[in-house]
Amino acid sequence: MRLALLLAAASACATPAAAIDLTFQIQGAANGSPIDQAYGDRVTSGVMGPFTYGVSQGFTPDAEVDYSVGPMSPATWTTGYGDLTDVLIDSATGFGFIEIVITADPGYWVLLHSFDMAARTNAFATDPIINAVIVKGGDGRDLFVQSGVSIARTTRSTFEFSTSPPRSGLLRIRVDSNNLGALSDAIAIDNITFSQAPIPPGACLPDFTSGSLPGQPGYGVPNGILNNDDFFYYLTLFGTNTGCSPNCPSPPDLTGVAFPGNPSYGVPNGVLNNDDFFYFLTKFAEGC
Amino acid sequence: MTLALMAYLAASSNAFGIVATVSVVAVEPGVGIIHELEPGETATMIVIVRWDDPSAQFAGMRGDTIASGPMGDITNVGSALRDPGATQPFVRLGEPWAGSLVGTDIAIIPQTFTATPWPWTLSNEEMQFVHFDWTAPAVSSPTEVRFDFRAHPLAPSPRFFPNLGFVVNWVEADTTYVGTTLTILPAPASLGMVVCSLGLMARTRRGSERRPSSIAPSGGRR
Repeated sequence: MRLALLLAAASACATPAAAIDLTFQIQGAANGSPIDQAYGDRVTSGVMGPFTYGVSQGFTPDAEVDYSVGPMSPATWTTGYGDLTDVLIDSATGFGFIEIVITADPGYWVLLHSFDMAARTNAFATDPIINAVIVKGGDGRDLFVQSGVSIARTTRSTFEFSTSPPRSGLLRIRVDSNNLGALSDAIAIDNITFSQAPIPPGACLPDFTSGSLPGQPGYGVPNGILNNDDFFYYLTLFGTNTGCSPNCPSPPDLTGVAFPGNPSYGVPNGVLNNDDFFYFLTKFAEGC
Repeated sequence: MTLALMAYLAASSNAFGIVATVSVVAVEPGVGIIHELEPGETATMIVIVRWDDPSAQFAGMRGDTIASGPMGDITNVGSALRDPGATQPFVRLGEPWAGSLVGTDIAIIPQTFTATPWPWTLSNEEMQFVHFDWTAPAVSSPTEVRFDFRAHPLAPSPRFFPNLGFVVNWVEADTTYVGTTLTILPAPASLGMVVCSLGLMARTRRGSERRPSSIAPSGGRR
């Protein structure tokens, strides 16, 4: 059993079985067109209707891509940004925030492999420096942060994560070029390559669920994101199984004692009590 | 009714009928709630949770405080629910992003497992969930900025531990969300310039209106 888990974990860390490249080639999209929110969703072919993707090693049928709006105005542009073609920008003048959210279905996580950025060639005399490029996980943790980033204006700046791709049930790619003022929209992102992989069993002990309300999709299915939904799900399991001792299921029975060092620490014992709850709290606090 | 069924009903519906309000307010120390601010001035934005059952303990909430309008600076993010001695991962304050505070996610360990509950979690009349300082940006004319708390779609309402002794369970409340609006008024100096400009325009206009009469034939007015 342990060997199987190790093998599953190893396979998830290995080269992805499926990766696509968001090239932002969208038929009929004019310069400044708001990005079609369906672009990047559940890609099963290199060409899907008006959308074209780069396909390096497979597809991502269990992931969706969103482009945050609100104060942001994500839009496509064809040329003029370094040597890139068909790019994503924030078209809101003077704002300069881009956020791309990649979300996997319950039971999967997404892995980010690379992306390119460039500045509008004719807007700058030299390569501009922007505030930050950030990749965050679904639990809010920073998986990659680079501040004061120089962005190429005649070629491209490539962000490569091939050795250790950030992964989570949800990835946020954030670009902050607000410091460029009226030129903050002169920064583009392109060629976002990501893949999906099943979450190996036991990859993260306290990650029990995607949502905490019964009936929600992914209820009771890990999603690679450790957040308070997992906390409330565990509370529900704990409350539902009150009185189950000495034949309690695991979870919520997680341990014999709550103190590390004891042989029964982390070993379910069929009894549900406060030790299980505090063991869960400890694991939750440790994170994944 | 089995415990399992009770738990399911509790988690899947607001079987305990708790009604809550989540409000965003702008406060200026020493002044109270405000609705106007000048560029460069700072207000403390507070997300407040109120609920109707004083015997229920606040359990948690997740969401973003979204600002719609010109982007101000967010600093000093905090929460009355952050206990320095407690396990920190249950309090994610969130972070400023694109002018809003995003990713706030707070859950409370139920009273069943704690000798003493955090007092704030029982303050049903006005519990401060999260707060931050917001400094108004420069504007050239009166401009509104709207602040709303938006709960996460997967956790659409604040959660509470009903007063059920040692039964560990939680419910979502029927919730009303109330935002607030701040009007950024240009600083007096800018207003002065606007007034001067308007005055100059008026004088110019009056002058141009007078000029024809002054050059009107002397017999124009008899």
